Amino acid sequence: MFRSAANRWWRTIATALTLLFMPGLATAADPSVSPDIARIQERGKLVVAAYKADMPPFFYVDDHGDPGGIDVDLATDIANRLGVRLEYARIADSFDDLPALVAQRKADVAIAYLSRTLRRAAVVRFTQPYVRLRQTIMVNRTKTAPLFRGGERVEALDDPGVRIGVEDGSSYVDFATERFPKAELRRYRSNEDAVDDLLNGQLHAVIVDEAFSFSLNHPLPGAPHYRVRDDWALYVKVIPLSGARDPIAMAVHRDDQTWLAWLDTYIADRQEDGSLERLLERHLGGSRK
Amino acid sequence: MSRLSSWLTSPWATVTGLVAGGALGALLPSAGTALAPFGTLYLSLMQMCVIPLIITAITASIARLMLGDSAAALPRLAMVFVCGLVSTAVIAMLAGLVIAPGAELGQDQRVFLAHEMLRQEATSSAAPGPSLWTLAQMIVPSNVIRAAADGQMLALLLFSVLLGMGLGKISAAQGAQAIGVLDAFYNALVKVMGWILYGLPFGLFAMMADHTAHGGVEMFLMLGRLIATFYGLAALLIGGMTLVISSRTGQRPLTVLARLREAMLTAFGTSSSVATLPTALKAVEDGLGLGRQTAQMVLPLGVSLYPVGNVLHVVVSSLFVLQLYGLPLDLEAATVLMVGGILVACAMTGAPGIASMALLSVLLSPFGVPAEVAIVLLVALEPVLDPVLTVLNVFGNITAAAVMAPRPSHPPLTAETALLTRR
Repeated sequence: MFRSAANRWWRTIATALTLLFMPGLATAADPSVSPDIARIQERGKLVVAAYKADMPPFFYVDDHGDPGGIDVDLATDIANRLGVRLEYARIADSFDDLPALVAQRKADVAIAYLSRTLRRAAVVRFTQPYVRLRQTIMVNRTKTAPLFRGGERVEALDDPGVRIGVEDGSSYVDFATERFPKAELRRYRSNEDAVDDLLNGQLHAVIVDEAFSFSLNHPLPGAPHYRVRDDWALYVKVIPLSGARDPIAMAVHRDDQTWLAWLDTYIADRQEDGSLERLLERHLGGSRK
Repeated sequence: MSRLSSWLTSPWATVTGLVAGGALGALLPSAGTALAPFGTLYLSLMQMCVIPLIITAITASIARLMLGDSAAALPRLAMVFVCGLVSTAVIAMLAGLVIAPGAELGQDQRVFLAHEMLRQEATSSAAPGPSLWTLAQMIVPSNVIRAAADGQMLALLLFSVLLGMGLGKISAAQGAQAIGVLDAFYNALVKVMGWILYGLPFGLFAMMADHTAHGGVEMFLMLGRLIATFYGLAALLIGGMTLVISSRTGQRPLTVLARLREAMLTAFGTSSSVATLPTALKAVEDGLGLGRQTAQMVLPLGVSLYPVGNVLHVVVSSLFVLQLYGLPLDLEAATVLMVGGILVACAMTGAPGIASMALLSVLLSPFGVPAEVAIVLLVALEPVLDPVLTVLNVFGNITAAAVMAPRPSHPPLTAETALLTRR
């Protein structure tokens, strides 16, 4: 349902409507508009790449079947300001697929809880981060108690006897190998599967971003919940990894320089008027401070 | 005026304050919470005199011991404390193993605990890596005035005992002079405390109203077996200790309980063994007739060094966590749990805050016990258990004083106490 079904008529009507109702905006008719943005406006829709599964609080389909979340909010606003429709290409099987989709021009932009990493930056261009998440480590309380000896010495986990789980194809594979090179790394299809094994005592720890651990803690009303046992907090403790940030940014095709600058300006504007902070606070709480 | 003052100091006024406050808080939680500042203020007033009282009492009594060549009483007191604490720890351990309050919790109980964990961990910051060294630092202050200002009870005790010993070793005339001055201060402080205690019924009223306003019913429902274990053990220990006091003083058990009524009620209402100290001193000197020297020496030391209730709290809670996670309990773990429980219990009264409890984590973590859970449990259960455990602390303390006291010269022996003393 998210696949684009290009419709000539619809495109014409959309362009006409845009011309009619958004006289202030630069439109396809305006030859001074840079070709990368003009392309989107001529088409009359913005195609945004996203991950297949629901990832609250960034993007999800709620109880009423409406999309919601930080990324959905941003994408909708961007489409409005461009004067085009919004269309999702929710076809990425893993987060690593998202840059590829943009590079193959199957989408105009990835606004999808996407971590900015060097590996991905070789494929696409990243905007400035719109949120810097903290990395958090979820540890099995009883398995790590002998290692921590009363404190929260996360460094103690960098040991050959320690098993750490991560979501395969996510930036956390890179983060984990960088921070805990000696530990045994196990890849899971999803964070939920990894947490399952953590609760069963198969793993010492799982590295996730704070948005995931925060949503376990504060489920959004109406949004789908992650599939994790209710009493997880009795067995698992969430520790923020100090100094480790996970910058979440939008990604565009490497040739779309003006489009990139436009998005950067958009993010900067929303940071300046405080509306971005309010949006993040609504979905992530004050936990990032 | 005198009728009013005698009514205010009667146990009935205390009971009335407790019950009325408890009822008000339960029925009108908002009124109870509104009274909280007054309760806190009164508690501060009660605690105001306690630190000078502790210093003068311990210093004078130790100095008198040294001058009177009865210094052997100190090692004996240490023996009494150690034996009492170890037997409490063993009883708590055995009861915990038999009742197994942490085994086979239901799903809703586990979810309740999980939410409690999240709530507490959200408010507390990451613990600094504590160690046994922290305990040593709590006992040895670099600045005794600051230790007093911070309420570092253990440090104050060390200082007072050493000062008392020093006074006992200087010339007898000088020593006696100093003791005279300290006694004068002590007596004056007791007088002041007497005035403050006129307000006790009102203070307890405010404190209880605030206490019951915070509910805790859910806690009772969810952790019923654990809480029942605590209450049962407390009743058992108080019963046993009443018999000990009875046999030492030659008073009948019910008389003992009646004489200690005010101290018990104060302990229950204030949840603070420090604030109860003046009342307990009065009860031991006047009520049980054990003599000022014993009361002055044992009770102030015992507030920090003989916390029977805290030992019970720490040992049973730790055991609960072990059972909750299905961790095995071998002899080594049991020993560490009991010895650590005693150390942590002493540190809890000696140094305020979480720091002392963090000691527990150092001791128990090698056995796979996530001590943060034990700490959260201790903190969460505090409002529900504190009144009873404080009563236990104070009662244990008075029992130690009874054991230490020289036997009364003409005990009114009843058949019952004769039987007890023969055993």
